[in-house]
Amino acid sequence: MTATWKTGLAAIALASLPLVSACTKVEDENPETATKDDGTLTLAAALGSNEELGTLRGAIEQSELSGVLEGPASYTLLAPSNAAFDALGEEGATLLEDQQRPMLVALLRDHLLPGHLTPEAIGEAIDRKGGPVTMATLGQAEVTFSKSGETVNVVMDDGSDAAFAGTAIAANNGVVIPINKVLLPPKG
Amino acid sequence: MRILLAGAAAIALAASGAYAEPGKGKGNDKNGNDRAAAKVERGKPDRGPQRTENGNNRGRADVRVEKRVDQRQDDRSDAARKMERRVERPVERRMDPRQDQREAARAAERRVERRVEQRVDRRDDRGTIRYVDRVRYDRDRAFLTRDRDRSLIEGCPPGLAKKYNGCMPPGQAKKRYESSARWYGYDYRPSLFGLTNYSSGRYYYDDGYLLRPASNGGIAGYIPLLGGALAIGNPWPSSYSSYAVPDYYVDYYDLGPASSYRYADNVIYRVDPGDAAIMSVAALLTGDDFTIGQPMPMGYDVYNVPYAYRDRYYDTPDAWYRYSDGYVYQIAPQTQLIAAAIDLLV
Repeated sequence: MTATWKTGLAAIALASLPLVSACTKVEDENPETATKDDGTLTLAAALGSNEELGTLRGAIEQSELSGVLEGPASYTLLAPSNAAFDALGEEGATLLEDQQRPMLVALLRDHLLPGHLTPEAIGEAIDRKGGPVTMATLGQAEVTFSKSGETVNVVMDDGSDAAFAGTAIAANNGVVIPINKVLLPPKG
Repeated sequence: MRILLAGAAAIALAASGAYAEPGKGKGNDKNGNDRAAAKVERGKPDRGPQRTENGNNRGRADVRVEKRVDQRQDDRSDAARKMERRVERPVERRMDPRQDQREAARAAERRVERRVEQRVDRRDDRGTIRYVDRVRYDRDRAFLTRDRDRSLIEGCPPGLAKKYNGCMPPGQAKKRYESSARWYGYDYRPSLFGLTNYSSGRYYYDDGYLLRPASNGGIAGYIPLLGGALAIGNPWPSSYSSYAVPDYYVDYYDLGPASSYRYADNVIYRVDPGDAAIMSVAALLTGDDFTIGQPMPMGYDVYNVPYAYRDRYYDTPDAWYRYSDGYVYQIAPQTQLIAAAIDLLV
Protein backbone atom coordinates (compact mmCIF):
# COMPACT_ATOMS: atom_id res chain seq x y z
CA MET A 1 0.00 0.00 0.00
CA THR A 2 2.80 2.40 0.92
CA ALA A 3 4.47 1.65 -2.39
CA THR A 4 1.25 2.50 -4.21
CA TRP A 5 1.00 5.82 -2.38
CA LYS A 6 4.56 6.66 -3.29
CA THR A 7 3.97 5.86 -6.96
CA GLY A 8 0.87 8.02 -6.99
CA LEU A 9 2.54 10.95 -5.27
CA ALA A 10 5.54 10.78 -7.57
CA ALA A 11 3.25 10.89 -10.58
CA ILE A 12 1.42 13.94 -9.19
CA ALA A 13 4.71 15.66 -8.31
CA LEU A 14 6.09 15.01 -11.79
CA ALA A 15 2.90 16.24 -13.38
CA SER A 16 2.97 19.49 -11.46
CA LEU A 17 6.56 20.35 -12.45
CA PRO A 18 5.62 22.19 -15.65
CA LEU A 19 3.03 24.11 -13.62
CA VAL A 20 5.71 25.45 -11.32
CA SER A 21 8.08 26.37 -14.12
CA ALA A 22 5.31 28.06 -16.09
CA CYS A 23 4.33 30.32 -13.20
CA THR A 24 7.66 31.91 -12.34
CA LYS A 25 10.64 32.31 -14.61
CA VAL A 26 13.73 33.96 -13.27
CA GLU A 27 16.45 34.95 -15.71
CA ASP A 28 19.23 35.51 -13.20
CA GLU A 29 20.75 33.23 -10.56
CA ASN A 30 20.74 35.97 -7.94
CA PRO A 31 17.23 36.38 -6.51
CA GLU A 32 18.07 39.89 -5.24
CA THR A 33 18.70 41.40 -8.66
CA ALA A 34 16.98 39.01 -11.06
CA THR A 35 14.19 40.39 -13.21
CA LYS A 36 10.79 39.26 -12.00
CA ASP A 37 8.98 37.81 -14.97
CA ASP A 38 5.20 38.15 -14.82
CA GLY A 39 3.42 37.88 -18.14
CA THR A 40 0.03 38.33 -16.49
CA LEU A 41 0.78 42.01 -15.79
CA THR A 42 0.71 45.04 -18.06
CA LEU A 43 3.38 47.70 -17.59
CA ALA A 44 0.82 49.86 -15.81
CA ALA A 45 0.01 47.06 -13.35
CA ALA A 46 3.71 46.24 -12.85
CA LEU A 47 4.36 49.87 -12.00
CA GLY A 48 1.45 49.81 -9.56
CA SER A 49 2.90 46.83 -7.73
CA ASN A 50 6.01 48.69 -6.53
CA GLU A 51 5.49 51.20 -3.71
CA GLU A 52 8.91 52.72 -4.33
CA LEU A 53 7.60 54.02 -7.64
CA GLY A 54 4.47 55.79 -6.37
CA THR A 55 5.64 59.28 -7.39
CA LEU A 56 6.38 58.07 -10.91
CA ARG A 57 2.94 56.47 -11.08
CA GLY A 58 1.40 59.83 -10.18
CA ALA A 59 3.62 61.58 -12.71
CA ILE A 60 2.52 59.23 -15.50
CA GLU A 61 -1.12 59.79 -14.64
CA GLN A 62 -0.56 63.56 -14.62
CA SER A 63 1.28 63.33 -17.96
CA GLU A 64 -1.74 61.52 -19.51
CA LEU A 65 0.58 58.86 -20.97
CA SER A 66 -1.11 56.01 -19.08
CA GLY A 67 -2.67 54.70 -22.31
CA VAL A 68 0.81 53.96 -23.66
CA LEU A 69 1.62 51.68 -20.71
CA GLU A 70 -1.65 49.79 -21.13
CA GLY A 71 -1.40 49.43 -24.90
CA PRO A 72 -0.41 46.52 -27.12
CA ALA A 73 3.05 47.88 -27.99
CA SER A 74 6.10 47.07 -25.90
CA TYR A 75 8.10 49.70 -24.01
CA THR A 76 10.78 49.64 -21.33
CA LEU A 77 10.35 52.21 -18.59
CA LEU A 78 13.43 53.44 -16.72
CA ALA A 79 11.58 54.14 -13.50
CA PRO A 80 13.02 56.77 -11.11
CA SER A 81 12.29 55.94 -7.47
CA ASN A 82 10.33 58.17 -5.08
CA ALA A 83 13.67 59.30 -3.60
CA ALA A 84 14.87 60.29 -7.09
CA PHE A 85 11.88 62.63 -7.49
CA ASP A 86 12.36 63.95 -3.94
CA ALA A 87 15.93 64.86 -4.83
CA LEU A 88 14.58 67.33 -7.43
CA GLY A 89 13.19 69.41 -4.52
CA GLU A 90 10.82 72.28 -5.34
CA GLU A 91 11.36 71.81 -9.06
CA GLY A 92 10.15 68.24 -8.77
CA ALA A 93 6.88 69.45 -7.26
CA THR A 94 6.29 72.13 -9.91
CA LEU A 95 6.86 69.52 -12.60
CA LEU A 96 3.59 67.90 -11.53
CA GLU A 97 1.57 71.11 -12.03
CA ASP A 98 -0.75 71.34 -15.04
CA GLN A 99 1.19 74.23 -16.54
CA GLN A 100 4.33 72.08 -16.81
CA ARG A 101 2.64 69.03 -18.31
CA PRO A 102 4.42 69.33 -21.70
CA MET A 103 7.76 69.37 -19.88
CA LEU A 104 6.76 66.37 -17.73
CA VAL A 105 5.75 64.47 -20.89
CA ALA A 106 9.08 65.36 -22.50
CA LEU A 107 11.03 64.06 -19.47
CA LEU A 108 9.04 60.84 -19.28
CA ARG A 109 9.55 60.17 -23.00
CA ASP A 110 13.29 60.22 -22.35
CA HIS A 111 12.72 57.40 -19.83
CA LEU A 112 10.82 55.20 -22.32
CA LEU A 113 12.71 52.82 -24.63
CA PRO A 114 11.29 50.84 -27.55
CA GLY A 115 10.70 47.15 -26.83
CA HIS A 116 11.37 44.74 -24.01
CA LEU A 117 14.79 45.28 -22.43
CA THR A 118 15.70 43.29 -19.35
CA PRO A 119 18.69 44.31 -17.19
CA GLU A 120 20.09 40.86 -18.02
CA ALA A 121 19.92 41.54 -21.79
CA ILE A 122 21.52 44.95 -21.25
CA GLY A 123 24.32 43.33 -19.21
CA GLU A 124 24.89 40.69 -21.87
CA ALA A 125 25.06 43.33 -24.61
CA ILE A 126 27.66 45.28 -22.63
CA ASP A 127 29.71 42.11 -22.07
CA ARG A 128 29.45 41.08 -25.72
CA LYS A 129 30.50 44.49 -26.98
CA GLY A 130 33.14 44.88 -24.29
CA GLY A 131 31.92 48.39 -23.48
CA PRO A 132 28.95 50.77 -23.29
CA VAL A 133 25.86 50.13 -25.44
CA THR A 134 23.30 52.65 -26.66
CA MET A 135 19.53 52.49 -27.00
CA ALA A 136 17.01 54.79 -28.64
CA THR A 137 14.35 56.46 -26.47
CA LEU A 138 10.88 57.74 -27.30
CA GLY A 139 12.14 61.21 -26.45
CA GLN A 140 14.84 63.51 -27.70
CA ALA A 141 18.00 61.52 -27.06
CA GLU A 142 19.62 58.12 -26.82
CA VAL A 143 20.74 56.57 -23.56
CA THR A 144 24.00 54.72 -22.96
CA PHE A 145 24.33 51.78 -20.60
CA SER A 146 27.60 50.78 -18.94
CA LYS A 147 28.69 48.58 -16.06
CA SER A 148 30.78 49.41 -13.02
CA GLY A 149 31.28 46.16 -11.15
CA GLU A 150 27.86 44.57 -10.95
CA THR A 151 25.97 47.88 -11.17
CA VAL A 152 24.50 48.99 -14.48
CA ASN A 153 24.57 52.76 -15.09
CA VAL A 154 22.56 54.72 -17.61
CA VAL A 155 23.53 58.12 -19.05
CA MET A 156 21.48 60.45 -21.24
CA ASP A 157 23.23 62.03 -24.20
CA ASP A 158 25.18 64.93 -22.65
CA GLY A 159 22.80 64.80 -19.71
CA SER A 160 22.61 63.27 -16.27
CA ASP A 161 23.13 59.68 -15.20
CA ALA A 162 21.52 57.10 -12.91
CA ALA A 163 22.10 53.55 -11.70
CA PHE A 164 19.77 50.54 -11.77
CA ALA A 165 18.34 50.13 -8.28
CA GLY A 166 15.97 47.35 -7.32
CA THR A 167 14.13 44.51 -8.99
CA ALA A 168 12.99 44.94 -12.58
CA ILE A 169 9.60 43.53 -13.58
CA ALA A 170 9.08 42.02 -17.02
CA ALA A 171 5.41 42.47 -17.92
CA ASN A 172 3.57 41.35 -21.05
CA ASN A 173 3.96 44.73 -22.77
CA GLY A 174 7.35 45.84 -21.49
CA VAL A 175 9.73 46.08 -18.57
CA VAL A 176 9.93 48.39 -15.54
CA ILE A 177 13.55 48.99 -14.47
CA PRO A 178 13.86 51.03 -11.24
CA ILE A 179 16.66 53.65 -11.29
CA ASN A 180 17.97 55.90 -8.53
CA LYS A 181 17.81 59.33 -10.26
CA VAL A 182 15.62 61.22 -12.70
CA LEU A 183 17.43 61.45 -16.05
CA LEU A 184 17.63 65.10 -17.10
CA PRO A 185 18.50 66.30 -20.60
CA PRO A 186 21.32 68.80 -21.08
CA LYS A 187 20.42 72.47 -20.68
CA GLY A 188 20.93 75.03 -23.40
CA MET B 1 -7.18 2.44 -4.31
CA ARG B 2 -4.56 1.67 -6.92
CA ILE B 3 -7.06 2.54 -9.65
CA LEU B 4 -8.00 5.76 -7.93
CA LEU B 5 -4.38 6.89 -7.66
CA ALA B 6 -3.58 6.00 -11.23
CA GLY B 7 -6.62 7.98 -12.31
CA ALA B 8 -5.54 11.01 -10.25
CA ALA B 9 -2.06 10.87 -11.77
CA ALA B 10 -3.46 10.67 -15.27
CA ILE B 11 -5.70 13.68 -14.65
CA ALA B 12 -2.79 15.64 -13.20
CA LEU B 13 -0.60 14.80 -16.19
CA ALA B 14 -3.29 15.82 -18.62
CA ALA B 15 -3.89 19.09 -16.77
CA SER B 16 -0.20 19.99 -16.72
CA GLY B 17 0.05 19.38 -20.44
CA ALA B 18 -2.76 21.79 -21.15
CA TYR B 19 -1.23 24.39 -18.87
CA ALA B 20 2.20 24.15 -20.41
CA GLU B 21 0.82 24.93 -23.85
CA PRO B 22 -1.20 28.10 -23.55
CA GLY B 23 -2.56 29.28 -26.85
CA LYS B 24 -2.86 25.79 -28.29
CA GLY B 25 -6.24 24.54 -29.40
CA LYS B 26 -9.08 26.58 -28.02
CA GLY B 27 -7.05 29.70 -27.42
CA ASN B 28 -6.19 30.00 -31.09
CA ASP B 29 -9.76 29.76 -32.19
CA LYS B 30 -10.56 32.54 -29.80
CA ASN B 31 -7.93 34.73 -31.39
CA GLY B 32 -9.26 34.01 -34.82
CA ASN B 33 -12.74 34.91 -33.73
CA ASP B 34 -11.74 38.14 -32.11
CA ARG B 35 -9.61 39.25 -35.02
CA ALA B 36 -12.45 38.56 -37.41
CA ALA B 37 -14.82 40.49 -35.19
CA ALA B 38 -12.40 43.39 -35.05
CA LYS B 39 -12.31 43.53 -38.84
CA VAL B 40 -16.09 43.64 -39.10
CA GLU B 41 -16.35 46.25 -36.40
CA ARG B 42 -14.03 48.62 -38.18
CA GLY B 43 -16.04 48.51 -41.38
CA LYS B 44 -14.76 48.80 -44.91
CA PRO B 45 -14.76 52.50 -45.74
CA ASP B 46 -11.73 53.20 -43.59
CA ARG B 47 -9.76 50.16 -44.59
CA GLY B 48 -7.30 49.58 -47.36
CA PRO B 49 -7.41 46.39 -49.37
CA GLN B 50 -4.08 44.84 -48.46
CA ARG B 51 -4.90 42.91 -45.29
CA THR B 52 -8.21 41.42 -46.35
CA GLU B 53 -6.55 38.30 -47.75
CA ASN B 54 -5.27 37.28 -44.32
CA GLY B 55 -8.66 36.15 -43.11
CA ASN B 56 -9.12 33.94 -46.15
CA ASN B 57 -5.76 32.31 -45.64
CA ARG B 58 -6.79 31.33 -42.17
CA GLY B 59 -9.77 29.48 -43.58
CA ARG B 60 -12.17 30.78 -40.97
CA ALA B 61 -14.90 32.00 -43.27
CA ASP B 62 -17.51 30.03 -41.34
CA VAL B 63 -16.40 31.58 -38.07
CA ARG B 64 -16.56 35.05 -39.58
CA VAL B 65 -20.11 34.56 -40.80
CA GLU B 66 -21.22 33.52 -37.34
CA LYS B 67 -19.41 36.47 -35.89
CA ARG B 68 -21.08 38.85 -38.28
CA VAL B 69 -24.46 37.66 -37.10
CA ASP B 70 -23.39 38.19 -33.50
CA GLN B 71 -21.94 41.51 -34.46
CA ARG B 72 -25.20 42.70 -35.97
CA GLN B 73 -26.92 41.92 -32.72
CA ASP B 74 -24.20 43.72 -30.84
CA ASP B 75 -24.51 46.65 -33.20
CA ARG B 76 -28.20 46.91 -32.52
CA SER B 77 -27.71 46.93 -28.80
CA ASP B 78 -24.76 49.29 -29.23
CA ALA B 79 -26.93 51.63 -31.24
CA ALA B 80 -29.52 51.62 -28.50
CA ARG B 81 -26.87 52.32 -25.91
CA LYS B 82 -25.44 55.12 -28.01
CA MET B 83 -28.88 56.72 -28.28
CA GLU B 84 -29.20 56.67 -24.53
CA ARG B 85 -25.73 58.09 -24.13
CA ARG B 86 -26.40 60.83 -26.66
CA VAL B 87 -29.31 62.03 -24.55
CA GLU B 88 -27.23 62.05 -21.40
CA ARG B 89 -24.07 63.33 -22.97
CA PRO B 90 -24.65 67.08 -23.35
CA VAL B 91 -25.46 67.33 -19.65
CA GLU B 92 -22.40 65.24 -18.66
CA ARG B 93 -20.20 67.27 -20.97
CA ARG B 94 -21.14 70.54 -19.44
CA MET B 95 -20.34 69.09 -16.06
CA ASP B 96 -16.98 67.55 -16.87
CA PRO B 97 -16.04 66.96 -20.49
CA ARG B 98 -12.61 65.56 -19.61
CA GLN B 99 -14.15 62.89 -17.39
CA ASP B 100 -16.32 61.70 -20.27
CA GLN B 101 -13.31 61.49 -22.60
CA ARG B 102 -11.30 59.61 -20.04
CA GLU B 103 -14.00 57.00 -19.57
CA ALA B 104 -14.14 56.40 -23.30
CA ALA B 105 -10.34 56.18 -23.38
CA ARG B 106 -10.33 53.69 -20.54
CA ALA B 107 -12.82 51.52 -22.40
CA ALA B 108 -10.53 51.58 -25.44
CA GLU B 109 -7.58 50.68 -23.25
CA ARG B 110 -9.42 47.77 -21.67
CA ARG B 111 -10.08 46.47 -25.18
CA VAL B 112 -6.38 46.81 -25.97
CA GLU B 113 -5.46 45.01 -22.76
CA ARG B 114 -7.49 42.01 -23.88
CA ARG B 115 -5.60 42.00 -27.18
CA VAL B 116 -2.28 42.07 -25.31
CA GLU B 117 -3.37 39.00 -23.37
CA GLN B 118 -4.30 37.27 -26.61
CA ARG B 119 -0.85 37.96 -28.02
CA VAL B 120 0.73 36.41 -24.96
CA ASP B 121 -1.55 33.40 -25.37
CA ARG B 122 -0.19 33.02 -28.87
CA ARG B 123 3.42 32.69 -27.75
CA ASP B 124 3.48 28.92 -28.28
CA ASP B 125 1.77 29.15 -31.63
CA ARG B 126 5.05 28.64 -33.42
CA GLY B 127 4.95 28.83 -37.15
CA THR B 128 7.21 29.91 -39.92
CA ILE B 129 8.53 33.46 -39.77
CA ARG B 130 6.20 35.77 -41.69
CA TYR B 131 8.41 38.30 -43.42
CA VAL B 132 6.75 41.51 -44.50
CA ASP B 133 6.66 41.97 -48.26
CA ARG B 134 9.32 44.53 -49.03
CA VAL B 135 7.21 46.57 -51.46
CA ARG B 136 4.38 46.76 -48.95
CA TYR B 137 6.81 47.66 -46.17
CA ASP B 138 8.37 50.50 -48.15
CA ARG B 139 4.94 51.80 -49.07
CA ASP B 140 3.80 51.60 -45.43
CA ARG B 141 6.74 53.74 -44.29
CA ALA B 142 5.70 56.63 -46.55
CA PHE B 143 3.71 58.30 -43.77
CA LEU B 144 6.93 58.76 -41.75
CA THR B 145 8.60 60.50 -44.69
CA ARG B 146 5.62 62.85 -45.03
CA ASP B 147 5.74 63.52 -41.31
CA ARG B 148 9.41 64.52 -41.51
CA ASP B 149 8.57 67.21 -44.07
CA ARG B 150 6.43 68.95 -41.50
CA SER B 151 7.01 72.62 -40.69
CA LEU B 152 5.60 75.14 -38.24
CA ILE B 153 1.93 76.03 -38.46
CA GLU B 154 1.95 79.57 -39.75
CA GLY B 155 0.41 82.38 -37.75
CA CYS B 156 -0.85 82.51 -34.23
CA PRO B 157 -2.56 79.74 -32.20
CA PRO B 158 -6.34 80.34 -32.11
CA GLY B 159 -6.57 81.00 -28.35
CA LEU B 160 -3.54 83.26 -28.22
CA ALA B 161 -4.70 85.43 -31.13
CA LYS B 162 -7.57 86.61 -28.93
CA LYS B 163 -5.45 86.88 -25.81
CA TYR B 164 -2.73 88.88 -27.51
CA ASN B 165 -4.86 91.11 -29.68
CA GLY B 166 -3.93 89.39 -32.90
CA CYS B 167 -0.46 87.96 -33.17
CA MET B 168 1.26 91.00 -31.70
CA PRO B 169 1.59 90.61 -27.96
CA PRO B 170 1.22 93.93 -26.12
CA GLY B 171 4.00 94.92 -23.69
CA GLN B 172 2.90 93.10 -20.57
CA ALA B 173 1.87 89.92 -22.37
CA LYS B 174 5.07 89.88 -24.38
CA LYS B 175 7.08 90.12 -21.19
CA ARG B 176 5.09 87.23 -19.78
CA TYR B 177 5.57 84.87 -22.66
CA GLU B 178 9.24 85.66 -22.98
CA SER B 179 9.86 84.85 -19.35
CA SER B 180 7.17 82.18 -18.97
CA ALA B 181 8.03 79.66 -16.29
CA ARG B 182 10.65 77.42 -17.79
CA TRP B 183 11.13 74.34 -15.73
CA TYR B 184 14.59 74.05 -14.17
CA GLY B 185 15.82 76.87 -16.45
CA TYR B 186 15.47 74.78 -19.61
CA ASP B 187 15.46 76.51 -22.95
CA TYR B 188 12.15 75.40 -24.47
CA ARG B 189 13.01 74.28 -27.99
CA PRO B 190 11.41 71.64 -30.25
CA SER B 191 14.08 68.97 -29.64
CA LEU B 192 13.51 69.15 -25.86
CA PHE B 193 9.96 67.92 -26.54
CA GLY B 194 11.10 65.10 -28.82
CA LEU B 195 10.18 67.13 -31.93
CA THR B 196 12.78 66.53 -34.61
CA ASN B 197 10.92 67.80 -37.67
CA TYR B 198 11.30 71.52 -36.99
CA SER B 199 14.04 74.09 -37.39
CA SER B 200 16.05 74.99 -34.32
CA GLY B 201 16.38 78.57 -33.14
CA ARG B 202 14.50 80.70 -30.67
CA TYR B 203 11.07 79.69 -29.42
CA TYR B 204 8.77 80.83 -26.63
CA TYR B 205 6.34 78.75 -24.68
CA ASP B 206 2.82 79.78 -23.80
CA ASP B 207 -0.50 78.11 -23.25
CA GLY B 208 0.61 74.65 -24.41
CA TYR B 209 2.31 75.86 -27.60
CA LEU B 210 5.85 76.50 -28.72
CA LEU B 211 5.83 79.90 -30.46
CA ARG B 212 8.32 81.04 -33.04
CA PRO B 213 8.85 84.81 -32.89
CA ALA B 214 8.72 86.84 -36.10
CA SER B 215 11.19 89.62 -36.88
CA ASN B 216 8.49 92.26 -36.37
CA GLY B 217 7.91 91.17 -32.76
CA GLY B 218 4.83 89.10 -33.53
CA ILE B 219 4.43 85.34 -33.75
CA ALA B 220 5.50 83.70 -37.02
CA GLY B 221 4.30 80.20 -36.29
CA TYR B 222 3.61 77.60 -33.63
CA ILE B 223 3.71 73.93 -32.63
CA PRO B 224 1.05 72.37 -30.37
CA LEU B 225 2.68 70.32 -27.60
CA LEU B 226 1.75 66.87 -26.30
CA GLY B 227 0.32 67.45 -22.81
CA GLY B 228 -0.26 71.14 -23.61
CA ALA B 229 -2.50 72.09 -26.51
CA LEU B 230 -2.67 68.35 -27.26
CA ALA B 231 -3.88 67.36 -23.77
CA ILE B 232 -6.75 64.94 -23.20
CA GLY B 233 -10.13 66.58 -23.72
CA ASN B 234 -8.83 69.24 -26.11
CA PRO B 235 -10.07 69.21 -29.70
CA TRP B 236 -7.53 68.17 -32.31
CA PRO B 237 -6.17 71.41 -33.87
CA SER B 238 -7.47 71.34 -37.44
CA SER B 239 -4.37 73.15 -38.68
CA TYR B 240 -2.07 70.43 -37.29
CA SER B 241 -1.75 67.88 -40.12
CA SER B 242 -2.53 64.30 -39.18
CA TYR B 243 -1.46 61.51 -41.51
CA ALA B 244 -3.16 58.14 -41.96
CA VAL B 245 -1.03 55.27 -40.68
CA PRO B 246 -0.78 51.98 -42.62
CA ASP B 247 -3.34 49.25 -41.98
CA TYR B 248 -0.65 47.22 -40.23
CA TYR B 249 -0.38 49.93 -37.55
CA VAL B 250 -4.18 50.26 -37.36
CA ASP B 251 -4.26 46.56 -36.44
CA TYR B 252 -1.13 46.50 -34.31
CA TYR B 253 -2.13 49.45 -32.13
CA ASP B 254 -5.85 48.64 -32.43
CA LEU B 255 -6.80 52.11 -33.66
CA GLY B 256 -10.17 51.51 -35.30
CA PRO B 257 -11.47 53.64 -38.18
CA ALA B 258 -9.55 56.64 -39.48
CA SER B 259 -11.94 58.97 -37.70
CA SER B 260 -10.93 57.59 -34.30
CA TYR B 261 -7.22 58.35 -34.35
CA ARG B 262 -4.73 61.05 -35.33
CA TYR B 263 -1.02 60.74 -36.03
CA ALA B 264 1.54 63.54 -35.95
CA ASP B 265 5.17 63.98 -34.85
CA ASN B 266 5.67 60.31 -33.83
CA VAL B 267 2.61 60.20 -31.58
CA ILE B 268 -0.64 58.30 -32.22
CA TYR B 269 -3.69 59.73 -30.41
CA ARG B 270 -7.11 58.19 -29.90
CA VAL B 271 -9.78 60.79 -30.61
CA ASP B 272 -13.54 60.88 -30.27
CA PRO B 273 -14.83 60.20 -33.81
CA GLY B 274 -17.67 62.66 -33.19
CA ASP B 275 -15.92 65.84 -32.14
CA ALA B 276 -12.22 64.88 -32.60
CA ALA B 277 -11.48 65.52 -28.93
CA ILE B 278 -8.29 63.78 -27.78
CA MET B 279 -9.10 60.76 -25.59
CA SER B 280 -5.68 59.24 -24.93
CA VAL B 281 -2.20 58.68 -26.28
CA ALA B 282 -2.32 55.29 -28.04
CA ALA B 283 1.37 54.95 -28.86
CA LEU B 284 4.68 56.75 -29.10
CA LEU B 285 6.89 55.94 -32.09
CA THR B 286 10.62 56.39 -32.42
CA GLY B 287 10.24 57.17 -36.14
CA ASP B 288 13.68 55.56 -36.56
CA ASP B 289 14.59 54.77 -40.13
CA PHE B 290 14.60 51.00 -40.66
CA THR B 291 15.02 50.37 -44.39
CA ILE B 292 15.44 46.79 -45.58
CA GLY B 293 18.92 46.33 -47.06
CA GLN B 294 20.28 49.38 -45.22
CA PRO B 295 22.30 49.49 -41.97
CA MET B 296 20.40 49.26 -38.69
CA PRO B 297 20.03 52.75 -37.16
CA MET B 298 22.04 53.71 -34.07
CA GLY B 299 20.52 52.95 -30.70
CA TYR B 300 19.61 49.28 -30.99
CA ASP B 301 22.57 47.58 -29.33
CA VAL B 302 20.41 45.56 -26.92
CA TYR B 303 18.05 42.67 -27.68
CA ASN B 304 14.55 44.12 -27.18
CA VAL B 305 12.03 41.77 -28.79
CA PRO B 306 8.58 41.98 -27.07
CA TYR B 307 7.58 39.43 -24.46
CA ALA B 308 5.24 37.31 -26.58
CA TYR B 309 7.84 36.80 -29.34
CA ARG B 310 11.05 36.21 -27.39
CA ASP B 311 10.94 32.44 -27.62
CA ARG B 312 10.56 32.67 -31.39
CA TYR B 313 12.96 35.48 -32.30
CA TYR B 314 16.20 35.31 -30.31
CA ASP B 315 19.74 36.25 -31.30
CA THR B 316 21.86 33.54 -32.93
CA PRO B 317 25.27 33.78 -34.65
CA ASP B 318 23.39 34.04 -37.98
CA ALA B 319 20.61 36.46 -37.12
CA TRP B 320 19.84 39.15 -34.58
CA TYR B 321 16.38 40.46 -33.92
CA ARG B 322 15.47 44.00 -32.88
CA TYR B 323 12.10 45.63 -32.28
CA SER B 324 11.03 49.13 -33.25
CA ASP B 325 7.60 50.73 -33.79
CA GLY B 326 5.56 47.56 -34.20
CA TYR B 327 7.98 45.47 -36.26
CA VAL B 328 10.71 42.99 -35.40
CA TYR B 329 13.67 43.31 -37.75
CA GLN B 330 16.11 40.57 -38.67
CA ILE B 331 19.66 41.90 -38.68
CA ALA B 332 22.74 40.29 -40.23
CA PRO B 333 25.25 40.28 -37.33
CA GLN B 334 28.35 40.65 -39.54
CA THR B 335 27.22 43.52 -41.74
CA GLN B 336 24.61 45.04 -39.37
CA LEU B 337 22.34 45.35 -42.40
CA ILE B 338 18.57 44.95 -42.03
CA ALA B 339 17.76 41.63 -43.71
CA ALA B 340 13.98 41.67 -43.27
CA ALA B 341 10.99 43.06 -41.38
CA ILE B 342 8.74 40.57 -39.59
CA ASP B 343 4.95 40.79 -39.31
CA LEU B 344 3.93 40.44 -35.64
CA LEU B 345 0.24 40.10 -36.39
CA VAL B 346 0.39 36.76 -38.17
